[in-house]
Amino acid sequence: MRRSILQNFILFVFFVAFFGTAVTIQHKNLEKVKLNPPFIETWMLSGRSGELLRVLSLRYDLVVADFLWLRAIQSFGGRGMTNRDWKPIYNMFDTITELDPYFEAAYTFGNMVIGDEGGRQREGLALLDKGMFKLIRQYRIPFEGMYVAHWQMGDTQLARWYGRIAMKRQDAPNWVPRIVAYIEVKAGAYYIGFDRFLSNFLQGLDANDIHIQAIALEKIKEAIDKWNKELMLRALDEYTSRTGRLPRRIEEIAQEPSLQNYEVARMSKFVAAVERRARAMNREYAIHPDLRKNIAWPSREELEAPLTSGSLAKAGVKWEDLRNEIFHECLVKQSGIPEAPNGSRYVLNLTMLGYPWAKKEDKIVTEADLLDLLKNILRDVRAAIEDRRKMLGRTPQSLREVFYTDFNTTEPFGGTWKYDPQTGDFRSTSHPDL
Amino acid sequence: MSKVLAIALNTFKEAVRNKVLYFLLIFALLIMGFSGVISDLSIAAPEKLIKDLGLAAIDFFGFLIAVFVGVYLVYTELDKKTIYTIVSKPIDRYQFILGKFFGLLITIYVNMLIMSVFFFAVLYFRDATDFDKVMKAIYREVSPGHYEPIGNPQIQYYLYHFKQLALAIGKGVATIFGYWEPMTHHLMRVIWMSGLGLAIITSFAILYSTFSTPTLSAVFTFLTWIIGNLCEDILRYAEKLAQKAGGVANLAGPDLMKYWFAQIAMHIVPNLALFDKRTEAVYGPWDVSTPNIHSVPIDWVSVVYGLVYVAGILCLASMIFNRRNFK
Amino acid sequence: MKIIETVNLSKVYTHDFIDVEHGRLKFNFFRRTVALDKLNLEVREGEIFGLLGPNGAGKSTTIKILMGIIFPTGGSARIMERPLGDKSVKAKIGFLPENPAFYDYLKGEEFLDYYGQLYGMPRALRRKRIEEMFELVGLPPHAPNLPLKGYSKGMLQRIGLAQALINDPALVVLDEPQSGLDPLGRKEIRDIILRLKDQGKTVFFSSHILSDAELICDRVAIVNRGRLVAMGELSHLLSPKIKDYELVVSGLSRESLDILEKHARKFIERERDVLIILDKEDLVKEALRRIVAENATLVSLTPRKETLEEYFIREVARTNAPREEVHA
Repeated sequence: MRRSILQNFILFVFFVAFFGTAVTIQHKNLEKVKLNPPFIETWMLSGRSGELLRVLSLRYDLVVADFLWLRAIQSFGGRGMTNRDWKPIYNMFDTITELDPYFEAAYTFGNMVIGDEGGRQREGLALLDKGMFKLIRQYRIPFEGMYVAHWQMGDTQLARWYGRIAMKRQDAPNWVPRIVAYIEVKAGAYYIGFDRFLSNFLQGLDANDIHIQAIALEKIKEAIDKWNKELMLRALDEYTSRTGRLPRRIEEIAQEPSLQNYEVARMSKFVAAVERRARAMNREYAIHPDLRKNIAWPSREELEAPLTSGSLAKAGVKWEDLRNEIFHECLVKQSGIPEAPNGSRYVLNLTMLGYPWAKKEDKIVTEADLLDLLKNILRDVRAAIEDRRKMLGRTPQSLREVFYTDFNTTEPFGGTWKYDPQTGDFRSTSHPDL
Repeated sequence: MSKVLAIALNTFKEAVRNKVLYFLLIFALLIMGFSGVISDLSIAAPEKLIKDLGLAAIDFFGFLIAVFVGVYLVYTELDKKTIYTIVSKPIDRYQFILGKFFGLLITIYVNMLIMSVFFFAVLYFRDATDFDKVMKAIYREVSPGHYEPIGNPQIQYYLYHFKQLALAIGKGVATIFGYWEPMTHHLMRVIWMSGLGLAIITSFAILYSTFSTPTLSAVFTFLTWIIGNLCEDILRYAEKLAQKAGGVANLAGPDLMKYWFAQIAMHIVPNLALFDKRTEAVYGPWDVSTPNIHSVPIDWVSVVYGLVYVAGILCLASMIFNRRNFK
Repeated sequence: MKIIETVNLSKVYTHDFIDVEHGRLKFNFFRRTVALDKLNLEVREGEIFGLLGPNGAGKSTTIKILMGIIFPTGGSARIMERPLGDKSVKAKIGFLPENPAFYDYLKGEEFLDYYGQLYGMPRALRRKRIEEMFELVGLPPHAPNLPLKGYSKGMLQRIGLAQALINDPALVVLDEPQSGLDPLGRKEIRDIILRLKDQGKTVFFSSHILSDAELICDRVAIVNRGRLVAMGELSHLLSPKIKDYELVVSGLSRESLDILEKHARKFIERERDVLIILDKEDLVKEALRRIVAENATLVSLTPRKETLEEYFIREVARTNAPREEVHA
């Protein structure tokens, strides 16, 4: 009895010694590990490892995918991404999606990590492409692709491609077509864009949703506006390359080839089309009175012209069914400066024209916009004059006294500025009544 | 057939005494609980993690039980010579094999059902103790933006969790009998399919134990399981070989042998991939209007395949058993 | 009706080609072991038949073949005029193997119930028979609810007998039923076997406790090295001749005792009496005459015939003669 107690005690001492040593060594090891968190098993994952892992995981591939997924999230949270080591994380997501091809989050999150954070949009899009054709009922992945293509890479054609795929997916919500239409317009596909927004508006009419109608109307105006501007800007370039100088008035570019015999959608024709059909369908109006501000309204004769014989419009018909005929009615073939959809007219923005920093879309604006600009300039300058007056205690002698430099702002309408040093009155010659 | 039932029940009583069974069961339940906890780490579809892991655990541990409990069954009868008093009774030897098989199968299925209840309970409990739901249960909105606790929040919190736990377990049991919620739609079907695959493995365990020692039987069964799971991949590999050569006629030498060997072998080996409906459970067809309800159609062809295969293997096992001399 | 009949029954074992013996590999080129060599047995209805022989003679092999545990390599056998393996016949047989192993996690009652189910007995009948069995084999009242793990060796033997009798069989086959039992146990087994015969059953058992066999068997068969050495009724086998006489006397004079000692086969002087074995009748008569003359006490006079054991050893030695000694 005593012998075994002694023996057990000795064994216990040895146990403490051995195990304690082991624990101490491990403790030292852990210190080292804490400082360098191991990245995902980069040696393990290569481009082909997805297929291999899938076979190895013996039909438990979804579970392996989940574990790799957790590791991916942890590593992303822990280390972020740099441009240098995007490859391991790309392989990581490639492997995960190889193991579990229907794992939607892996594609979108992977794209975000690789594309947004890592800056490798092309590789991110490659991942999305893979997912897009596996998950064929979901809209989310091509939609993300569209987002990346348009807003990060600036490639609107590519964005259009993704957008059109996204729209056709089974579960696409109803705002997806609108965004895609926006992209279409941005990419220069005006017909399609206009058609889509038109469709939106008509759906809004069918659904009696004034909110949708309002948005759609704005979008239609925008689309037509962009359409017009592209044509006019092309004409502007033709004019400047032909004459070697800038025009002073917009009528000067009306003769250029781009503005001859072109087809475009006209806002007033659109209004006429829908209003006439509204009457035929025994409705009071198509466009709600609250939404009629800043719209190019057609003339009385246009509004009262009868519908063509082939029109389907009558009571009880859905607006959507009339889309085709309305669309074709809005298109006109014309020459010269197009009609501005907001009821104003197009003018050259002389404050921007000829300046290297001018953006394309600012070179030609509608008169209304220009008028706003003029009003702003007048207001700002008048305020400055008033401040100087208070400071000096008298009316400034000239604008140079106000600004300490020559006032060189171009008058938007091509006129000049008039300053009266006696009264401190400042106005423009083109619109003296403002 | 009442004799088969008698043997089956006896086998079940014997299997239930095996301690390994309990270790495996506890381990599986731990894994499922664990998955419920770490599912929060997964930023997208946390429920997918629980489902994947739970279904895989049920399948895998069912397999382990089949191997670790099954290979001993016939062997211990022969080794301990309890077989003498059985064989001398008016029963056919194939009835004995059937009895052993069904006894083992009942053991596995009982375990599977326990694991399933737990699995469903984890799903239901996690769903019910979502932060928003907990807050809604504890706090009451007296006016927009103003909340007032109902009773003592601490106590209410624990009370809510406790109630949801009991409810989850109850729902878990009900799910076995057909009750479902969107997140557990058709999951029981997947588990039954997996169980049919396990029946095939069980029949192999019985087959091997009619003529070899437990260790060898375990190894053979394990190998059968691996090859069964890889069956489709191997066939695909053979097809790829043929495709690379430009057609079966163009294969030559070792490739030709590999191709035919793969073809023949993979027709004989049980194709366990047919019983794996886990992907459908998580991603299966759903209607856009009901995004969380995945449906898993019943694959009758595979069911028939499974039943027929099991019957065949049991016939083989009976044939071998019939000719055996018991020392 | 011949209950059991074997015709040239043979069983030959072929060894595995490669074997491990004493930790070394052994290559056996077609080594065979002959367990049974053309055995011809016959058991008649209603008798107690003993299958006797030294260890390794083939007794257990024969029984195993009859019960369908192993298969013969030659010859044939019939039980109740039907070939081996007939299920309707098996339903009328009860079997208790040597050193039986049972499912020790079952309680006594469950255990018998299980075997009852395997016999195809309906539940009511089972319940009745289980009760009867526990009484018949003499198990204590706590036995039915006790798992077999807790049974003593004697109790196990009894419940083994119970499962052999539960279906009220016409033929009871016992393989070494007395192995490991004390004399009381052996007597009980003998009594049970006799009772079974009274009920009209046939009992076929193997044993190497010859004294017991001699007491109860109607017919015996002696096998050695797989061959049948002798078979028949005890009275036919054993020589009816009186071999010698065993005389126990006390009070004889020294003179008489000396004379007797000279002629006696065996002469043992004990404390109270003297044991003398004489092999001639004349000598016995002389001894008796002296006893009467000296008024001594005749304690006992037993004519001894050849015992089964002596017959057995003789026959076994005879059949072993050309070869080496019998291996145990």
